Amino acid sequence: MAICELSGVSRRYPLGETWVQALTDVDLVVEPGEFLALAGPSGSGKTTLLNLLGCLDQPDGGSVSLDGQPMSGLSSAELSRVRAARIGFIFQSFNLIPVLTALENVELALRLSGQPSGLDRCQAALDDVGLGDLGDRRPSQLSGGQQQRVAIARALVKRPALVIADEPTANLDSATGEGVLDLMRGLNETQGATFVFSTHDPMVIERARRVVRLRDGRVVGIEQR
Amino acid sequence: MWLVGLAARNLRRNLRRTAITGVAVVAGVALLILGQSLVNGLDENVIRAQIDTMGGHVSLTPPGYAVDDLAAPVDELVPLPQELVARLAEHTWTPRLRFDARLIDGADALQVRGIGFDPDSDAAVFPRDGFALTGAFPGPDEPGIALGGGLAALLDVAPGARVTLQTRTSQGAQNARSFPVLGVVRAGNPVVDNFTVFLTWHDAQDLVRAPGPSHISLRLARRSDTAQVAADLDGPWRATPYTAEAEDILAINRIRRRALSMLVLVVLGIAAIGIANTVIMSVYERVREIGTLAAMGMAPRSIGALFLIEGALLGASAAVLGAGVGSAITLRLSTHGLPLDGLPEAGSKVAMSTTLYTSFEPSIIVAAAIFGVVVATAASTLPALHAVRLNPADAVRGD
Repeated sequence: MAICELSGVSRRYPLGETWVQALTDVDLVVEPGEFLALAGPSGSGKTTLLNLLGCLDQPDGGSVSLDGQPMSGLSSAELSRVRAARIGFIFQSFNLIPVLTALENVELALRLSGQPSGLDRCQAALDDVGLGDLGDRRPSQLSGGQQQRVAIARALVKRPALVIADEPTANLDSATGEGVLDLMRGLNETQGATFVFSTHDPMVIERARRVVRLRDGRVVGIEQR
Repeated sequence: MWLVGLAARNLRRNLRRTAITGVAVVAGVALLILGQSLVNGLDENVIRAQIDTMGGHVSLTPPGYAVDDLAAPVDELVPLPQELVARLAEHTWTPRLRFDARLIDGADALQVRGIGFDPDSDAAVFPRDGFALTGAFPGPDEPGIALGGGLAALLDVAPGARVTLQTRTSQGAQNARSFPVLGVVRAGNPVVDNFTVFLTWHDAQDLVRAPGPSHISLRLARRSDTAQVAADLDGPWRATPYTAEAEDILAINRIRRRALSMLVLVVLGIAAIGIANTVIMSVYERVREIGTLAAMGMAPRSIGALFLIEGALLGASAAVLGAGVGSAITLRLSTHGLPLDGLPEAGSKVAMSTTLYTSFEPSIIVAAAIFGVVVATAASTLPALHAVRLNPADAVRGD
């Protein structure tokens, strides 16, 4: 069964006195274990599509389902529970909680998921991203690449059905970005984690196993690698 | 509990801002404690002065006696009925004869209040522990007078001098007698110090020729029994509890308390605005973080709770500090007192001590601290609601 399925999805936003059509009639199926890139120029609808996949937003038209369960009509509290249990997020700006250490950031995700809290499990998640000995550091004491690795550990610690990554390498230099991408790909292969990420970086697109190309809010091509 | 820990860490992010915001709460809570304690102390001061130097817990006056602080008439006095004496047997009581007189020293004369007291029973009702006495108090074997320190200073007399006390008898005749000054009393009560002359019941009767006392004063073991005892004794001889005697000043104090409450409300209102401002700034500064927490699955209710707890913690910390400051000042003033310098010099007829001791009451401190926390939490409500209503999709990008 598909992890996530979008059918005829549309989304528009108000902009001043007009409306911007961010997505138009998008169909997409995300299968388990995928390493899928959403590619396209700025304003093509990548982030809007990620928001819908990640249950951060609701479509104006069409339907979104996660593990076969329709997401439309769920309250914000119910969507929170879905995100907490089944979706991990990696952000372009890392978005770690600055007052928490690396280990506590990872632990927070596990706590919110409702799964049994365990420092061993959080430490193991940090070990997996190569930061096992930096768990007591605050985000401000870590480099950009290290922060993004913590973010990856935070996203994966609860073993989510889907990991959403919005331009995960955009704020990193190319070498660090490549390292982060290697890590994501490795976790995809070893742990079977399903990744959907947005990018317009050709180097990143090249590493994806499937690429969905967007333009003006429509899917204009799908490439299987 | 972890939410409280997270809120506490968030508060430490901008310590200076947190501290500045907290100062208003500290001031409000401290002012609330100090103000209430001062007014309560003022009440207690007036009550103590009334009980200890004026009329005891309950004061009985003869039928038809005009109770008036400004005059002490003697023309309507009657003998003390034996039936009343019998009813008073179970209480500690003493008779007094108050009368208006002129205290004359050569060419100088002052209007005074004479008090004839029973040497055997007076000290049991009106303790003289707090009196600063130069010389001696009149007694059965020591005829003479003791006068207030303010009077002595005005007439420039000291123990050993002779003065004349002139008054009208109960029949309206003029009478005067020369007395040696035995002692000078400083009671710390302007009524005593500035207007009172003490002489024995025997000497007062000799001067006034009254058939009975103007006042019977009772001292009770428990102040709380006052109303009941006054009600039981009330009859042809009117029984007046100390609260009624001091009612005018206590009423003014109630107005003071209300005015103070308004002032405190204004200060805490300013504090509430400060806290609301701090929390809303915190929300605006942390939009991306709120979005991240929402994306990670934190429920909107928990996000709101996080900011409410931050406001409550800020309020609680400041309230505890304010309670500490207020308590320390109150405790100090409750033991060392606040000199009300001006009262004796002003020739005040207010029956109260010239040193004001604050009333240190833990219940006021706890209530003030809780009030501070409630104000802070309430002030955080709107910012917390704003955080709850943020769209997670926009918030994660900091929009």
